[in-house]
Amino acid sequence: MNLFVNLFSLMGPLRPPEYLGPETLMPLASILAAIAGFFLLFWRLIVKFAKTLYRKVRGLPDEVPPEVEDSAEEEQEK
Amino acid sequence: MKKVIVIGLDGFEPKIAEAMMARGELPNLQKLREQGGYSRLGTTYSAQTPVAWSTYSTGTNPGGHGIFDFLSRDPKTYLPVMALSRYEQKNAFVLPKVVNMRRGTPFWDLLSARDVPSTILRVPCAYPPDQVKGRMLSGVGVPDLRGGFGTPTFYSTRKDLRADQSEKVVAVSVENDRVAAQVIGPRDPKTKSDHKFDIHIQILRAENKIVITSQGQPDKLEVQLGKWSKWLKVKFKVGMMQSVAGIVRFNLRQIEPEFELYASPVNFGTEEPLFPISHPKEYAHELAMKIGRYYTAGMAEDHDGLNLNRFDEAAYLDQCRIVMRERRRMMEFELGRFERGYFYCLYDTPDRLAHMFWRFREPDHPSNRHHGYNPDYANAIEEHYRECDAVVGEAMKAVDDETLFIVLSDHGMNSFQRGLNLNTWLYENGFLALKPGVQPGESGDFFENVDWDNTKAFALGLGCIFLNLKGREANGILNEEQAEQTRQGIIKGLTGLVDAERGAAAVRSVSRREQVYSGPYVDEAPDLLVNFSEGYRVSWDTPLGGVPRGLFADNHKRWGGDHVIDPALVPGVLFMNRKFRAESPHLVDLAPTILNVFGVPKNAEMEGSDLLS
Repeated sequence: MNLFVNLFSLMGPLRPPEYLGPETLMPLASILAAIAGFFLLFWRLIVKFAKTLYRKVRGLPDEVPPEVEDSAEEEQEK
Repeated sequence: MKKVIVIGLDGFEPKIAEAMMARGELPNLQKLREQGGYSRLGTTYSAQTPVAWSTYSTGTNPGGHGIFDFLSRDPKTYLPVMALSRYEQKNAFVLPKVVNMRRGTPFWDLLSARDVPSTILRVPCAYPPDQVKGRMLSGVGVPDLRGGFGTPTFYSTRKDLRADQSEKVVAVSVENDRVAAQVIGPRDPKTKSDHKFDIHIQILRAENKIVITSQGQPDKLEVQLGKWSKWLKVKFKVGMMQSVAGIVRFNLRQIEPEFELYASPVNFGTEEPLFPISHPKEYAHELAMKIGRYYTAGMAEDHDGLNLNRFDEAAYLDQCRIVMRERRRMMEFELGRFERGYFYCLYDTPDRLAHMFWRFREPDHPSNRHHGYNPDYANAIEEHYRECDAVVGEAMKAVDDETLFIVLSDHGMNSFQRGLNLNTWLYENGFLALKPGVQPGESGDFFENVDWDNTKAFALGLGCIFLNLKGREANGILNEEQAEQTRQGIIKGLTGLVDAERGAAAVRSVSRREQVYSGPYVDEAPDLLVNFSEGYRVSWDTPLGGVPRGLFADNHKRWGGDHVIDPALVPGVLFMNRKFRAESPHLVDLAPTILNVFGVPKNAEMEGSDLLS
C-alpha cells in the first residue's frame, strides 16, 4: 500500500483517492508492465541463478545427470 | 486387472522369432507364448514405424490419424515435407511451436479422462508429447538440434572428402597433435549460418586416444580409438542471453595417417530442450538425473553414419548396444515405481539393426559386392533378438496376477536387394513428363525438370503415388474422369511388373487409397500405394522425387533390409500372457484391448475389437 501511495505522490497534485483517471494510471501501468516484462524475459535465468547460488552456498554438487558406464565392450565382458 | 505392461520391439520379424523359439533360443518369449499366446500381427498400409505405431495408439487405420509415411508432399509446390510434425509461429510476438501431425485420439487420452495413469517411453509420433495423466517421453519424430532426423558431422584431415546427404564434413588440420574444431549446431534462420561450439582436441598417440577440451560438460572428454565417447553437453549461443543445449557423442575412427572423428547428430539436451520432448516437460531431465544422459532424438542409432561409410559395422553394433542399455535403464527405473495403469516402452533397435545387418543373411545381396561380406555378422539379428528376449524377461519381473503383459512389433523385416525407380516407370509409361530435351538421369531430386503441365502422376515417399489433380495440385491437369483412367492405367501397368534382369515380379499389387483407408484424413493420403514383392522396394532415388535412368537398380547401400513392401508380407509379432483371439489380430485391436482392461469403452473411431473377449 505504501508503495502505491508513494508512486502516486510522484505523479502530480491529484493523488488517490482524489482522482483515478487514465493519465494517473498509465504511468503506474507502465511501471508494472516493465517489472512484469523483466521477470518474463529473465525468469528462467533468475531461477537458474538462484538455484546455482543456493547450491554453491550449501556446498551441493551441480545438477548433472550421473555418469554411467556404457562401453559396449564392458557390457559384453559381463 | 490393474496394470498393462507393453514392450514394443520395433521391426521384430516373426519368421526369425518363430525359428528361434523353435530352437529354444528365446526362452522368455516362449514362456509368454505358453502362458497366453502368440500370433503374427497385421500391420498398416504402409508398414512403417510412424504409420503403424500411430494406428496402435489411436486404434484407427491411417485415414483416422493422418500419418501415411515419413514424408508427405505440399500440393502447392510438389515438394516433399516432413509428415510427422510441423513448426508454426502465428506471429512475431509468440514463440514458434511444434504441432503433432498425428491426429485421432490416442487411447491414453481416454485412460487419462478416467483417471488411469500412464507411463509411456519413446512412443513414435508424439512430438510434442500428449498431455497424458502420468509421464510420456517422445520417440520417433523428435529431430536432432538441426531439425533433421540425423545430421552427423565428420572431422577429417583428408581434403578429398565431400559431404553426402545431410551430414557435415569438416576439414581439420593437426598441429603439434592438436586439432581445433567446432561442433555444428542449429542453423540461424536469419543468417542461414550454423551456430557452433568450440572444441580443442589433444591427440595422445601412445594411448590411442584423444582428449576433447571444451566449455561443455564434462570439460575434458576422453575418446578411445574405435570407441564411442560418453555424452558431451554443448551449448550454442543463439542470441543475447539465449542459448540452446545439446548432447553429442564422438567416435574416433583414425589417428594416423589421417585424423578422422565422427560426431553423432546433436541430440536435444534434457535440461531445457528446444521444444518439449516429454510430459511433464521436466520429466525428460528428471529421468536423466536418475539413469544418466540418453539419446533423445527419435532416430537414436546413426544408420546414416554407417551408410555413408563414416564408421563400420562394429561401431554401429556398439552404438546399438549403448542405445539398448539406455532404454533398458529407462524401463527398469520406471517399472520399479510402476504400480497401476498403462506402461509402454519401445525398443527401436531391432528395426535399426536389422536394416543394416540383413545383407549378411544373404551372401548374394548386391550390397555385399560393394561393402564386403562378413560371415561373422550373419547371425547379428539373432544375437540381438536374444538381447530383446532378455529385456522381455526383465520386464516380466514386474508382471503379477493383475497384469496384462503384451510384447509386440509394429511390422516385420524383409530383404531389400532391388529398387524400382517409380518415377522413371511413370515417365516411361506416359504418366510423368520431363521438360523438353531432358531425359531420366538428368533430373535431380525434388522433381527438378518435371513438366507439371503434362504430368498425370508422380511418386514420392516410400511407394506412394499422387495424381496431379486439377484443383488440388498447383499445376493439376486431371479431372475426375481422367484421374480414374490414370489410376486404372497405373494399377494395370504396375501390378505384376517383372524385373527383367531377375525374371521376378517386383510388384504384387497396387492399392487405391479408398480400398485401404477410411476416416477424416483420407484426403491427405497418397492416391495409390505400391505393394512390393519380397526383395524389392522403391529405389533410393524415388522418395525425394528423383527420375533416374533405368527402371530397376541394385541396392548397394548397407541398408540392406526393409519392410516397406506389401504389408501382408511383413506382419509384426504379438505375445500376451493371457489367451487371446489368435485369428487375424491387427494393430487396431490393441487400443480396444487395453482400454477394456481398465473398463474404459473405446471411442467411435476405433475400428478393432478386444482381443481378450
